[in-house]
Amino acid sequence: MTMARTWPHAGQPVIPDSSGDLAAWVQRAREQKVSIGGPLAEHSIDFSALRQTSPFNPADMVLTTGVGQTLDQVKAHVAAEGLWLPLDTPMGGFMPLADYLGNDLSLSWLSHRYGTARDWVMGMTAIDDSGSPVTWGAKVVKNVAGYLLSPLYIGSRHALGLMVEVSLRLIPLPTGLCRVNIAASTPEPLLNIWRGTVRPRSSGLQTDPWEAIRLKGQAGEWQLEGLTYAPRGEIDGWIGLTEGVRGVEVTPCEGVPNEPVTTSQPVRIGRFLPANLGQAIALETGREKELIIYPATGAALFFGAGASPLAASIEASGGQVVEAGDWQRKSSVPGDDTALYMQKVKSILDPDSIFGPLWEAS
Amino acid sequence: MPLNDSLTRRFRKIVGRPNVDTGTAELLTFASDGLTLHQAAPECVVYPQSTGEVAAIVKACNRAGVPFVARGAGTGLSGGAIIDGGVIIQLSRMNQIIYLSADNRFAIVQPGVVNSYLSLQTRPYGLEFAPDPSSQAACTIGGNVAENAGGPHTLKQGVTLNHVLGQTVVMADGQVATFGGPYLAQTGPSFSSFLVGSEGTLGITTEVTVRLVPVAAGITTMLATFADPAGATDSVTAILAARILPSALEFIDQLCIQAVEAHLKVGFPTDAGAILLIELDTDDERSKGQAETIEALCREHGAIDFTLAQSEEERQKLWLGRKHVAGAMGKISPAYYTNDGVVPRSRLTDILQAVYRIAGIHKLKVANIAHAGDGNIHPLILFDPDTPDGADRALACSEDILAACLEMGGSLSGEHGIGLEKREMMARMYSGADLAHMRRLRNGLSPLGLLNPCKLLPEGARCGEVKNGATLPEGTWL
Ligand SMILES: Cc1cc2nc3c(=O)[nH]c(=O)nc-3n(C[C@H](O)[C@H](O)[C@H](O)COP(=O)(O)OP(=O)(O)OC[C@H]3O[C@@H](n4cnc5c(N)ncnc54)[C@H](O)[C@@H]3O)c2cc1C
Repeated sequence: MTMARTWPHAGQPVIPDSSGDLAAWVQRAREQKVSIGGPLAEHSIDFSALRQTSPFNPADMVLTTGVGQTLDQVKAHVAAEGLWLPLDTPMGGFMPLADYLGNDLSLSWLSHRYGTARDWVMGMTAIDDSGSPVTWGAKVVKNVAGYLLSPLYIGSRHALGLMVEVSLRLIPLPTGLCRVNIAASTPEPLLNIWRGTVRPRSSGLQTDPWEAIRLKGQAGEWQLEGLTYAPRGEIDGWIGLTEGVRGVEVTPCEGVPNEPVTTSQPVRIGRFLPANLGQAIALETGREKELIIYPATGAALFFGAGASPLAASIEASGGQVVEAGDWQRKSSVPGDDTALYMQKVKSILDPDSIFGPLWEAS
Repeated sequence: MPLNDSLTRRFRKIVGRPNVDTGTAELLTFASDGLTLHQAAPECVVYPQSTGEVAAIVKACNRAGVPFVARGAGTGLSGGAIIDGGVIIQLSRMNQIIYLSADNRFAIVQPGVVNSYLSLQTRPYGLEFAPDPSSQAACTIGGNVAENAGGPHTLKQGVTLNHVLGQTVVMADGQVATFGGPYLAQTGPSFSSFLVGSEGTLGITTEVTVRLVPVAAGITTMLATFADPAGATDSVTAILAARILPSALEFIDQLCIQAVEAHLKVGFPTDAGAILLIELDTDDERSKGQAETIEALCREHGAIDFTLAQSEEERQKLWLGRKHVAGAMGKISPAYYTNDGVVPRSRLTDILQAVYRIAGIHKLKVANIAHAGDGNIHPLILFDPDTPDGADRALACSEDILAACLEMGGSLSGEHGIGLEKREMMARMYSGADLAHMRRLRNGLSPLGLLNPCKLLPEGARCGEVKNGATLPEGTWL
């Protein structure tokens, strides 16, 4: 029991050593009327010690783990059993799941096919505003029993309650993938190649040979990077005689490589309808700062400040550009009431604001 | 509270006289959904055609303090779409595909669109709505969203939750809200995803933005035949352990096979103990290798025959058999009750043995189908409704099967939801604190408790019991 412990100094996080310990911190926060855990709470939490992983039978294809485990650790743990958690992030998987899920950093080169974190969390245990553990969902791959609150908790930055354990759905680790890297000095030929693969002229029908896909670049150096099962001959067919292609690398993979990690944090994220990724991209040709585009998902990560013709074009075509991690800006987007109802949920689940406000008052 | 005339008049004003039913005979057709063991007739059925009309109906119900429930096709199997007195908001006339964007792979649809109709409309573009419940020829997208429907092909593609991008919802108080939208790049909290699977207890969906996925370029369909059902379930585990994720992996036992053959003659082997229907969503070199591995694994686990569908016609025939198992039950039993438990995949063989054992204890026959790759079992418990305790024994048998699922670390429902049927069993799956947390959220979002009351959470004595196993008045035309 840790009841004798005092609150850490300003700027230092609370470091619970177990979920029971975290529950005790929440009870103390309630008694002493201080806030804990949320993005604007007086005390932040370092979840890294909550690393307990339940006994895991690979045949069940569900892993239940403490949120102190990092995304990389989870993926390595299950890969050893021939399984895969099809989630990724360009920010590097070294952060604990509490941060990865709490901030929902799951937009990645896999998202067009495998969705994002909410698609893979089957159940969760969290500490509620009274300091009690509460569980929803299940530890099996399919479940409709009761309310599934995880989609509310993922990305809410611990402002509704403090997640301590998650059950993750897994799938067999793919074999036989190839990593494809096509280089060009401007983005257009690469986009044209991608378009040809998802809507081949031969049939005109929608297809998708990519398990992972992204377009990355800055002035003079652009790459289409992806993972596919397509054989080399087919890949060569996609590229054909496309002008402007500088090089093609196709390498067979062991398992599934993670998305290459970017060196800096994105400052803004844009989302748009894939078909609107039109000519604006051409205007980015001379861009000095790195840009990552997920063409099939319809998302762009902007690094570095400053105006971007692509960002302007996304907004002009009805898409949204928000500051990274700042999902609540959605509230300013006409037609999406998520933020309004999140505030409602906050007032229901944490009326005394034990976890601090959901976001800064605007 | 009985429905008063002024409320009915109000409904007629909102939707027009022909779109309000209060006649006893009509109302009786709404007295049950696919779970016929629970029956309770509404006092009024209203057929709105727009979000605005739904909102006005909900507001009128709120003002009058009258309970209400949304209904799609009424194929639900947990008693979710019935109400004892009160109002059914029947959404089948809101059946338009509002917008389809093939290039952006989404469609905006009204809730009454029938599941298979949607894919029929999108297939010319090479796209489909992946969730494919066996009831897909009748059930609606609104019902799929409310129940988080699955189906044979959701093993690989994911369930309804994974294919809903956004919704317009009339909340319990009549406010209209929109959550999410057509963007695939969805991170951050999602109220839309939270509502999926909430069984119509928090809001009424009036528009859904669904994700569409490319239709498989080629398909390989296999039928593995086993003398012993355990060989089939062990093969399921072995296939997944071999790092192969088929697009479908379905188990069908002998009694089901015999019923289907008596009904449709699709060519299932009637002397088999069980069959597996296995599908890969490719027919290229890679899938040839995978099919060979699957065959080797099935044979290793006792398969006595293994065949590949040689044509699309043959494939369709096999699926026709699978999708009509429930419909074929009439050939072998006057009535049946569908269970929907889930176990961790490694316990599939154990739960099937438990199912046969439990059925034996209750002196009942049970025919088994399972979305085996998902660990989602559907024992069809056969009973005779004309024997005095027939239905009660079937219910007790189902409850014991669900208890066994929970003991093995599983769940009360994989895709049919809790509804009325299993609400009291929720206390066996969750702690009091867990349920209190869920109830807190429900009470906060539906403070008057008028929207689909008495469903999903245990109610104890709070809700008047609907008539369990009540019989319809003689001469009722259904
Ligand atoms: C033969 C048979 C086979 C089946 N196979 C499968 C299967 O493979 N997979 C599977 O998942 N299910 C299956 N089911 C169950 C059922 O078909 C699904 O649950 C389906 O999603 C229900 O859709 P519906 O339109 O019939 O909904 P209904 O039965 O009308 O309603 C079901 C629930 O959804 C709510 N609801 C309906 N529309 C809305 C709305 N617009 N807004 C809010 N709430 C709403 C209702 O209030 C109710 O609680 C099967 C049923 C049968 C009879």
